[in-house]
Amino acid sequence: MNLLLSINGGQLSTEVEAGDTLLDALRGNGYTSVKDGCANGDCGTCAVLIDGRAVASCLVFAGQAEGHEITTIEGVTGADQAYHPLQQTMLDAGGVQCGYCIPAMILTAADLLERNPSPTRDHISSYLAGNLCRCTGYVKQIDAIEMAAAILRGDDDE
Amino acid sequence: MSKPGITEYLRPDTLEEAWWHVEPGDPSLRILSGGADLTIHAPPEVTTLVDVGRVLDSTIQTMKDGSIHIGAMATLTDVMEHQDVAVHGSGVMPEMMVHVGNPLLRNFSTIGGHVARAKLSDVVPVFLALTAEIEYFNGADRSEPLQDYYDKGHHKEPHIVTGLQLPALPDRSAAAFLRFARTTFDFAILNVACRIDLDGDSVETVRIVVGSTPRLFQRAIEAEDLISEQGPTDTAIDRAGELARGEVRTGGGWVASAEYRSQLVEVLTRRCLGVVAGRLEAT
Amino acid sequence: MSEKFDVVGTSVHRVDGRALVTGKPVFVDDLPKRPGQLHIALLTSPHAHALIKSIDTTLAEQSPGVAIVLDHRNTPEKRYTTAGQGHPEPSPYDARMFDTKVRWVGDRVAAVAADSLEAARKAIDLIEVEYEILEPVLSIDEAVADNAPVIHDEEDSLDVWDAEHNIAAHVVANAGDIEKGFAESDITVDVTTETQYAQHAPLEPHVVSSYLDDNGRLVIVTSTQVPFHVRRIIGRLLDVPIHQIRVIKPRIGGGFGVKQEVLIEDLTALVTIRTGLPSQMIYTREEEFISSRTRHPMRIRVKLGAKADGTLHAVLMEVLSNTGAYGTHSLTVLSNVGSKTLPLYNKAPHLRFAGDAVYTNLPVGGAYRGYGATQGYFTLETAVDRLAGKLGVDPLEWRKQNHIREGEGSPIFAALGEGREGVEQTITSSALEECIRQGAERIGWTAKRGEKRQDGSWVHGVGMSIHMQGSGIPLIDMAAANIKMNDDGSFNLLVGATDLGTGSDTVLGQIAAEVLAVPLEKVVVLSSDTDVTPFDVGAYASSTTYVSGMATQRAAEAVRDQILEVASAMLGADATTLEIEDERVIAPDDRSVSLGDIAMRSFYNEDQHQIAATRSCVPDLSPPPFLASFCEVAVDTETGRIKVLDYVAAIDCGTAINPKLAEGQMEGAVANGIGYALFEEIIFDDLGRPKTPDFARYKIPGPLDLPHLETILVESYEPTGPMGAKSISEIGINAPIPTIANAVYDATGVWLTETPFTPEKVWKALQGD
Repeated sequence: MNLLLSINGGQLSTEVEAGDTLLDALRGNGYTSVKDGCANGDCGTCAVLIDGRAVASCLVFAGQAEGHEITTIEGVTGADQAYHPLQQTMLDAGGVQCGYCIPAMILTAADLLERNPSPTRDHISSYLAGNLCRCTGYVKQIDAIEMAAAILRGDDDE
Repeated sequence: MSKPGITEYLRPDTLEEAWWHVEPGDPSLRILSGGADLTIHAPPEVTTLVDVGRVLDSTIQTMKDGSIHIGAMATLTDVMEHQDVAVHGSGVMPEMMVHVGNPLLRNFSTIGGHVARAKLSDVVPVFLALTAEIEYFNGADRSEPLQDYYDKGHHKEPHIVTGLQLPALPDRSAAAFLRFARTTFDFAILNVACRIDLDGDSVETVRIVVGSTPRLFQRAIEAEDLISEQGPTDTAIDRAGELARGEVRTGGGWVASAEYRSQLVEVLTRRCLGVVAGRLEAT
Repeated sequence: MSEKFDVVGTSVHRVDGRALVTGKPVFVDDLPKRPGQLHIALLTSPHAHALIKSIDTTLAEQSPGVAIVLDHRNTPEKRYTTAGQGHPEPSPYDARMFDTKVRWVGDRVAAVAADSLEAARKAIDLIEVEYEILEPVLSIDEAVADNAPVIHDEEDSLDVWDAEHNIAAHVVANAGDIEKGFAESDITVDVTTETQYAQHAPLEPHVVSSYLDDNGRLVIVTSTQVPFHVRRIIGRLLDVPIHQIRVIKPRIGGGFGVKQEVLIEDLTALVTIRTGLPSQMIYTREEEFISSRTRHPMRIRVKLGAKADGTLHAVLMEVLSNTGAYGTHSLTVLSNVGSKTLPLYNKAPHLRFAGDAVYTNLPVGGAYRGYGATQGYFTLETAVDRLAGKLGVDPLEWRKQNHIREGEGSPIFAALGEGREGVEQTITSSALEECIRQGAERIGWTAKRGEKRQDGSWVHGVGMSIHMQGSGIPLIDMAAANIKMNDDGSFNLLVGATDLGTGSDTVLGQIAAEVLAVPLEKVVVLSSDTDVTPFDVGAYASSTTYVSGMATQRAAEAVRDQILEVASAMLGADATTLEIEDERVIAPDDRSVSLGDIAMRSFYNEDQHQIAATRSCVPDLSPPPFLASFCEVAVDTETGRIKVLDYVAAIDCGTAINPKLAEGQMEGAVANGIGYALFEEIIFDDLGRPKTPDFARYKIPGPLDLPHLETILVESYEPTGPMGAKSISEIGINAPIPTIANAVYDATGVWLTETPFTPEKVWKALQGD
C-alpha cells in the first residue's frame, strides 16, 4: 500500500507491505540512522520521535505512522550539519563509544528535555530505561544530557 | 523485517465499520491500537490488521462526579502524565506506570490495547484495585466492572475496547502499587496493588490484587476481609500478608519458583498495605 | 605524568564522533546496497545432539527468489575453527561449515540465499531434514560422566585433547610442590564456584556483506574484531588465495569478544563466489543469542594455604570449563583463568593450576571480555576474603601484604601462557597500592566494613577485590602501523588495529599526533582494510593501546626523523638539534619551517620522496593494568534482592591516553560485569533449548539497574608502553562478581558461590539452603 509519511518536516510517498513496520519503511528509504538491534521492542536502537515522543519504530506498523510527524536524527542535526546541543555534549562528555545506540538515545533525550528542561539524573535514567547501551555504563551519556539541558535552558557556563 | 504473513492492513473510519470486520471472530484478524504486543507475538495465522486508531477516542476527562474517563486510544504515557489521573488513588497510577515497559513503549502502547491483551500486566491489578469499569463495543456499547470482563471471559469474545472509567474515590482513600522484577525494564515476577477507603474510623472498601503470579490477577479476599474488620493496623497488615500468602496460588517457572513467588506475595502485600496505611494517615 | 604531553592525556573528541552522533551510514548494514544483493537466512538445529540422516532442499531451491541453498553436501568438508586467533590457532579444528552431525540447538544445518530476506526465510521453511536424535550432554557433570555420549566422534578433527572423554583442552602448570605447600600452611580455605552461560549482546549483531569487485576479487565487509584473521581463515576454508580477498571493517556496533570469531563470513563469501552476486547476512537477535558465542561457564575450585602471619604459601586452582559444542578458545580461555589471576599473589612458592575444557551439547563458548579471568577472579577473590576472615585480618590489609609489586615476578608468568608456556616477566609499573588506598577512602571502607547497618529488612555491607589482566599476548601479538605525510603537513595513520567502538582510532591518532607535534585533526586515521592497512592481529586480549599503540609510536618516530632530515637540509642545521613544535620544525637559532613546507619540498622540489614509515610491535611483555574495586550493597533479607548502591573502580592504566575514553572502558566493563553478577543468564530447558533468546528474557543492565559508577584513574607510567600507557579494555568486567559477593558476606555473613546472584538464590542462601 502507498503511504504519505511526514519525516523531518518533509513528505515521503512510499510503497510498503501491509506487515511493514515503521522501522522497515524508514531504513528502506535510506534512514539508516534508525537501527535494527532486536526487532522485538527491547533494545531501543530504533527509536524515532512520533509527534515529538520517542517510540520504538519496530513496534509501530508503517500504516500507523501516517498523519503523524516523524523525526529521526537527521531532523535533529542543524543546517550545515551543525550539532544539536545533545550531539555536542555526547562527544564532550565521552558518551559515545560504538555509537550504534546514540541516534536513538539523543532522540529520546530530546523528547525528555522538551517536556522536562531540568531533569535530575534519576529522571534521565528513568527516561532512558528503554535505550540499551552495552558499551558505556550510561554514566557519560547521563552527564551529556545534563550538560545539554543546561545549554538548552540557557544557563551560564558556570 | 516486515511482519511475515500480514497481507491486509485495514483502516476503518467508523466503529461500526471496524466491528463489521471484528464480529465474525476470525482468528486471522487482529485489532491494532497501539501495536507493540501484536507486532511481536501475533501467531502465524494472523493475516489482517484492523487499525482502529481513527475510530477510537484518546482523550482523558474528569467527570462531574469525580470519576475519570480514559479513551481506549490514550497511551500509557497519556494516562501516566494526566494531571487528574496522577493524583487519583494517591498517585498510584504514575507509581505503577513508570514500571510498565519503558518510555519507548509507553509512548505508543494504548490503554485499550493493554487491558484487552490480558497478559502479564502491572496495569490490570491497579485498575482492578481502583474498581475500574471497562467500556467496549460488540454491536452495542457495553460497560461492566473490569473484574467481570476478565472473570466472565468477555475479553476473549469479539469486541472492541472503547474506554475505561475510574470511579470517584472518597476523601479518605489511598492506594499503592509494588512490583518485583529482575531489572527495571522487565516483566514482573510478582506485583501487588492495594487500596483502602475509610469512612470515619471504619473501613469501607479494601482491595488487595496480586498479579503476575503468573496469572493476570488474583484478589486476596481473606486478607481484604481481615483489613475490613480490623482496619490497617500493623498487626492486621502483618496477618494480611500471611493470609495472602496462603490464599494466592502461585506458579513456578524459569524466572521464579512457586515457593519464592509465595514469599513475595506475603512480603509485597504487607509492604504495599503499609504504604497505603501511611498514605491514609496523611489524608 | 600527562603534563608533559600535549595531545596524549586530553579527552579530545573521538575521530569518528561526527559520523556517529549524526547517524551517518557507517555500519555494515547501513552502507549502500549493491544491485542484485542476496540475503542469507539460516536453518539451525532444533536438537541438541543429532545426526542428519537426510536433507531435502528441492522445494527450497525451487522457491521464488532463491539463488542457492547450502548444506553439508555442497560445502567444503575441511575441519577448522571459527576462533579468530593467530596462526596456528590454539583452538581445535573440530568444526565444519556444515556437518552431518549437529551438536547444539542452534548449530548450522543449511543456509538459503535469496533475493529478499522474506524469500530466504520462506525457503528455509521448505527444507526437510530427517534427524537421528542422540542423547544430549547438557552439563559439565554429564560430559565427564562414565560412558557419556561422545560429542566429537568424528575421525578428522585436529588438536582435540581427548575426544573420547569429551575433553577439548587440558592445561596443567606447577610451581614448587603443592602438597608440601599445604602441609606447611597453618590455615587453608577451599572454595568452589560456578558461573553461568552469558552472551556479549553487542547492540549490532553479527553482520557481513560480500561482493566481487571489478576484477573479480572477493570483498568481505564485516563487523569483526579480526579482519586479518578473517582473511586468512576464509582463504583457507574456501580455498581462495589471500591476494584474492579483501576484508573491510567499517564502524562496529560493539564486540566484547564475540566478533573475534569468524562466524558468518564463510556464508556470504561462499554465496558470492558461487553466484557471483553480492550477498549479506545478519544474525537475528535470537541467532545472536543462540548460534553465536557465549562466555564459557565454569566450575572452579581454589584452595589457599597461608602461614599464621598471613603470608600466602600455597595456591591450588582447578577448573572445569564448559566449551559447549565446539572448542573455540577452549584452551586459551582455560589457561587465562590461571595466568591472569595467579600472578596477583606472587608470595606463594607452591602453585598448581589444572583444568579441562569439556564439550557439551550447549552453545559454544568463545572470547568474551575478561577471557577466563572473569570466572577465575570470582573464586580467587572470594577465597581471599575467606582466608582473611579465618586469619582474623581485614581482607584489604591482607591483600596489601600479599599482592605483587613493581619489580617482582611470578613463576606463573613463565609456566602458563595462552595455550602454551608463558613468558617470564617482572612488573614494570604498578600503582595498585595507591588504587587500594584511593578506592578504600572513597567508599568509606574503614567506617563501613563490618558495620552491617540495618534499614528495615535491608542490611548494608561493603566489599572489595583487586585485579590484574595484561596488555596483549607477549611474543604472539603483532601490530603494525603506517604513517604517511601529506602536502599540508597532515598525516594518514593506517592501522590494522580494529576500533570496535572502543575509541582505539582516536587513541592511536593521539599517540601519533603527540610524536609529530600536531593537533589530532591533522592525523587522519583509517582502520581497517586488508588491502590498505598493515597487519594487526586485531582487537582482543587488551592489546590495542599497548601493542598497536607502540607500533604507532614507532612509526610516528620514524616519520619524525625523516621530517627532521628534510628540515635539516632546509634550515642548514644538524637534525639532532631540531625540535618539532606546533606543526613547525625549529632550529636552535629560532628559524623554523612548517611541516607543510617540508611536505611540499619532499613532494615537488628537492630530494623528492614520500615521507612515510611502517613499524611493527611484537611485545615481549604484557604489562598488567591493576584495579582495586569497591562497592557498597544493601541486601533485602526478606526477598534476597541485592542493591548495589555505590561502585568505585580505582584503575592503574599507566598513562591514560584519553581519560574519558579510558573511564568509558571501565564503566562499560563494570556495567557488563554487574549484569553478569546479578541477572544475565541463558537458561535452557531439559532438551538444551535456550529459553532466553531475546532482550525481553535475557536482561542486560539499563541505566536504572546500575549504581553510581565511579572510575578513579590512578596514573602510573609504564616504561615499555606507548607514552607510558597500558591497556584496560577487559579488566573492569572481572571485578563486580567478587566485589559484590564479598560485600554481601559483609552484610549478611552468607557466601554466594553461584552466579548470577538472583534474589531467589540469595533468599534461599539466607534461609540456609
